[in-house]
Amino acid sequence: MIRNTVYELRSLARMTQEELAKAVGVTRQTIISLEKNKYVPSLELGFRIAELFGKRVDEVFSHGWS
Amino acid sequence: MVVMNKRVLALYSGMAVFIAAVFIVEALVPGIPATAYIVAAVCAGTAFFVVGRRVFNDSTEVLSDERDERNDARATAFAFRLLTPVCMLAGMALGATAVDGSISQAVGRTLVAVGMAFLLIRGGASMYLDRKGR
Repeated sequence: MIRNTVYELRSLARMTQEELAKAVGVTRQTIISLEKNKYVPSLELGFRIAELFGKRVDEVFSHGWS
Repeated sequence: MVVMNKRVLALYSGMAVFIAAVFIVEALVPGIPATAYIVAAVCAGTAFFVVGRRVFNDSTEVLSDERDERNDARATAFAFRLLTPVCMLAGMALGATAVDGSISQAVGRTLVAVGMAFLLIRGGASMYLDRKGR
Protein backbone atom coordinates (compact mmCIF):
# COMPACT_ATOMS: atom_id res chain seq x y z
CA MET A 1 0.00 0.00 0.00
CA ILE A 2 1.49 3.32 -1.09
CA ARG A 3 0.68 6.21 1.23
CA ASN A 4 1.25 9.88 0.59
CA THR A 5 1.31 13.25 2.34
CA VAL A 6 -0.25 15.22 -0.50
CA TYR A 7 -3.11 16.52 1.66
CA GLU A 8 -0.74 17.77 4.38
CA LEU A 9 1.62 19.39 1.87
CA ARG A 10 -1.25 21.02 -0.02
CA SER A 11 -2.74 22.38 3.20
CA LEU A 12 0.65 23.80 4.25
CA ALA A 13 1.01 25.44 0.84
CA ARG A 14 -2.55 26.82 1.16
CA MET A 15 -3.49 25.46 -2.23
CA THR A 16 -6.89 24.25 -3.34
CA GLN A 17 -7.31 20.84 -4.97
CA GLU A 18 -8.16 22.64 -8.21
CA GLU A 19 -4.93 24.68 -8.10
CA LEU A 20 -2.81 21.61 -7.39
CA ALA A 21 -4.55 19.68 -10.15
CA LYS A 22 -3.82 22.44 -12.69
CA ALA A 23 -0.23 22.80 -11.51
CA VAL A 24 0.59 19.14 -12.06
CA GLY A 25 -1.67 18.64 -15.10
CA VAL A 26 -4.33 16.26 -13.81
CA THR A 27 -8.02 16.50 -12.94
CA ARG A 28 -9.28 17.46 -9.48
CA GLN A 29 -10.81 14.00 -9.22
CA THR A 30 -7.31 12.50 -9.39
CA ILE A 31 -6.12 14.76 -6.55
CA ILE A 32 -9.13 13.71 -4.46
CA SER A 33 -8.34 10.03 -5.06
CA LEU A 34 -4.66 10.62 -4.28
CA GLU A 35 -5.40 12.35 -0.98
CA LYS A 36 -7.68 9.50 0.04
CA ASN A 37 -4.86 7.04 -0.80
CA LYS A 38 -7.18 5.37 -3.29
CA TYR A 39 -4.97 6.00 -6.30
CA VAL A 40 -1.28 5.24 -6.82
CA PRO A 41 0.10 7.79 -9.29
CA SER A 42 2.58 7.15 -12.07
CA LEU A 43 6.25 7.86 -11.34
CA GLU A 44 6.01 10.91 -13.58
CA LEU A 45 3.09 12.40 -11.62
CA GLY A 46 4.80 11.50 -8.35
CA PHE A 47 7.90 13.42 -9.37
CA ARG A 48 5.83 16.39 -10.55
CA ILE A 49 4.01 16.60 -7.21
CA ALA A 50 7.21 16.22 -5.19
CA GLU A 51 8.99 18.88 -7.27
CA LEU A 52 6.06 21.27 -6.88
CA PHE A 53 6.31 21.09 -3.08
CA GLY A 54 10.14 21.13 -3.13
CA LYS A 55 10.40 17.63 -1.65
CA ARG A 56 11.95 14.33 -2.65
CA VAL A 57 9.59 11.64 -3.94
CA ASP A 58 10.22 9.45 -0.88
CA GLU A 59 9.25 12.36 1.37
CA VAL A 60 5.83 12.54 -0.30
CA PHE A 61 5.19 8.86 -1.04
CA SER A 62 5.98 5.86 1.15
CA HIS A 63 5.01 2.21 1.25
CA GLY A 64 3.06 0.94 4.22
CA TRP A 65 5.32 -2.01 5.10
CA SER A 66 8.48 -0.02 5.93
CA MET B 1 -13.58 11.67 -15.19
CA VAL B 2 -13.38 14.03 -18.13
CA VAL B 3 -13.45 17.68 -17.09
CA MET B 4 -16.29 19.58 -18.74
CA ASN B 5 -16.00 23.18 -19.80
CA LYS B 6 -18.63 25.29 -21.54
CA ARG B 7 -17.43 24.54 -25.07
CA VAL B 8 -17.28 20.78 -24.47
CA LEU B 9 -20.76 20.89 -22.93
CA ALA B 10 -22.01 22.88 -25.93
CA LEU B 11 -20.52 20.27 -28.27
CA TYR B 12 -22.19 17.37 -26.45
CA SER B 13 -25.47 19.32 -26.27
CA GLY B 14 -25.30 19.91 -30.03
CA MET B 15 -24.87 16.17 -30.63
CA ALA B 16 -27.82 15.36 -28.34
CA VAL B 17 -30.03 17.96 -30.06
CA PHE B 18 -29.14 16.55 -33.50
CA ILE B 19 -29.98 12.97 -32.46
CA ALA B 20 -33.26 14.11 -30.86
CA ALA B 21 -34.13 16.13 -33.99
CA VAL B 22 -33.60 13.05 -36.18
CA PHE B 23 -36.01 11.01 -34.03
CA ILE B 24 -38.62 13.82 -34.05
CA VAL B 25 -38.38 14.29 -37.84
CA GLU B 26 -38.63 10.52 -38.37
CA ALA B 27 -41.76 10.38 -36.21
CA LEU B 28 -43.47 13.46 -37.67
CA VAL B 29 -42.54 13.18 -41.36
CA PRO B 30 -43.03 9.68 -42.75
CA GLY B 31 -41.59 8.59 -46.06
CA ILE B 32 -38.15 10.17 -45.84
CA PRO B 33 -35.75 7.82 -47.67
CA ALA B 34 -33.01 6.07 -45.70
CA THR B 35 -30.34 7.66 -47.91
CA ALA B 36 -31.37 11.12 -46.62
CA TYR B 37 -30.71 9.95 -43.04
CA ILE B 38 -27.37 8.46 -44.05
CA VAL B 39 -26.29 11.68 -45.81
CA ALA B 40 -27.42 13.79 -42.83
CA ALA B 41 -25.57 11.51 -40.41
CA VAL B 42 -22.35 11.62 -42.45
CA CYS B 43 -22.51 15.45 -42.79
CA ALA B 44 -23.33 16.01 -39.12
CA GLY B 45 -20.72 13.44 -38.03
CA THR B 46 -18.02 15.17 -40.08
CA ALA B 47 -19.01 18.61 -38.74
CA PHE B 48 -19.04 17.40 -35.12
CA PHE B 49 -15.69 15.67 -35.63
CA VAL B 50 -14.04 18.82 -37.02
CA VAL B 51 -15.57 21.13 -34.38
CA GLY B 52 -14.89 18.62 -31.61
CA ARG B 53 -11.22 18.27 -32.54
CA ARG B 54 -10.83 22.05 -32.46
CA VAL B 55 -12.67 22.33 -29.11
CA PHE B 56 -10.52 19.66 -27.46
CA ASN B 57 -7.25 20.98 -28.94
CA ASP B 58 -8.01 24.58 -27.90
CA SER B 59 -8.98 23.64 -24.37
CA THR B 60 -6.37 24.65 -21.80
CA GLU B 61 -8.06 22.64 -19.08
CA VAL B 62 -7.13 19.03 -18.40
CA LEU B 63 -9.77 16.95 -20.15
CA SER B 64 -8.45 13.55 -19.21
CA ASP B 65 -5.37 12.36 -17.36
CA GLU B 66 -3.44 9.22 -16.46
CA ARG B 67 -6.10 8.06 -14.01
CA ASP B 68 -8.75 8.17 -16.75
CA GLU B 69 -6.48 6.21 -19.08
CA ARG B 70 -5.80 3.61 -16.38
CA ASN B 71 -9.50 3.30 -15.58
CA ASP B 72 -10.33 2.95 -19.29
CA ALA B 73 -7.73 0.21 -19.66
CA ARG B 74 -9.05 -1.61 -16.58
CA ALA B 75 -12.66 -1.34 -17.80
CA THR B 76 -11.66 -2.64 -21.25
CA ALA B 77 -9.74 -5.54 -19.72
CA PHE B 78 -12.71 -6.39 -17.48
CA ALA B 79 -15.13 -6.34 -20.43
CA PHE B 80 -12.75 -8.48 -22.51
CA ARG B 81 -12.22 -11.06 -19.76
CA LEU B 82 -15.95 -11.29 -19.11
CA LEU B 83 -17.22 -11.27 -22.68
CA THR B 84 -14.70 -13.61 -24.35
CA PRO B 85 -15.62 -16.79 -22.44
CA VAL B 86 -19.32 -15.83 -22.43
CA CYS B 87 -19.18 -15.37 -26.21
CA MET B 88 -17.45 -18.74 -26.75
CA LEU B 89 -19.69 -20.65 -24.33
CA ALA B 90 -22.81 -19.16 -25.92
CA GLY B 91 -21.49 -20.11 -29.34
CA MET B 92 -20.72 -23.69 -28.27
CA ALA B 93 -24.13 -24.04 -26.64
CA LEU B 94 -25.84 -22.78 -29.78
CA GLY B 95 -23.72 -25.02 -31.98
CA ALA B 96 -24.49 -28.07 -29.86
CA THR B 97 -28.23 -27.54 -29.78
CA ALA B 98 -28.93 -26.08 -33.23
CA VAL B 99 -30.19 -28.10 -36.19
CA ASP B 100 -27.63 -28.65 -38.98
CA GLY B 101 -27.67 -25.82 -41.53
CA SER B 102 -29.82 -23.51 -39.40
CA ILE B 103 -29.14 -19.82 -38.70
CA SER B 104 -28.59 -20.66 -35.02
CA GLN B 105 -25.73 -22.97 -35.99
CA ALA B 106 -24.16 -20.20 -38.11
CA VAL B 107 -24.55 -17.70 -35.26
CA GLY B 108 -22.99 -20.20 -32.84
CA ARG B 109 -20.00 -20.81 -35.08
CA THR B 110 -19.58 -17.07 -35.60
CA LEU B 111 -19.57 -16.47 -31.84
CA VAL B 112 -16.90 -19.15 -31.32
CA ALA B 113 -14.84 -17.65 -34.16
CA VAL B 114 -15.18 -14.15 -32.69
CA GLY B 115 -14.11 -15.43 -29.26
CA MET B 116 -11.07 -17.17 -30.77
CA ALA B 117 -10.20 -14.02 -32.73
CA PHE B 118 -10.35 -12.01 -29.46
CA LEU B 119 -7.95 -14.46 -27.81
CA LEU B 120 -5.55 -14.47 -30.78
CA ILE B 121 -5.50 -10.66 -30.98
CA ARG B 122 -4.91 -10.46 -27.24
CA GLY B 123 -2.04 -12.95 -27.46
CA GLY B 124 -0.50 -11.09 -30.42
CA ALA B 125 -0.83 -7.69 -28.77
CA SER B 126 0.61 -9.08 -25.53
CA MET B 127 3.65 -10.52 -27.36
CA TYR B 128 4.16 -7.24 -29.26
CA LEU B 129 4.02 -5.13 -26.08
CA ASP B 130 6.29 -7.63 -24.31
CA ARG B 131 8.95 -7.31 -27.03
CA LYS B 132 8.51 -3.53 -27.11
CA GLY B 133 9.31 -3.44 -23.39
CA ARG B 134 6.41 -1.29 -22.26
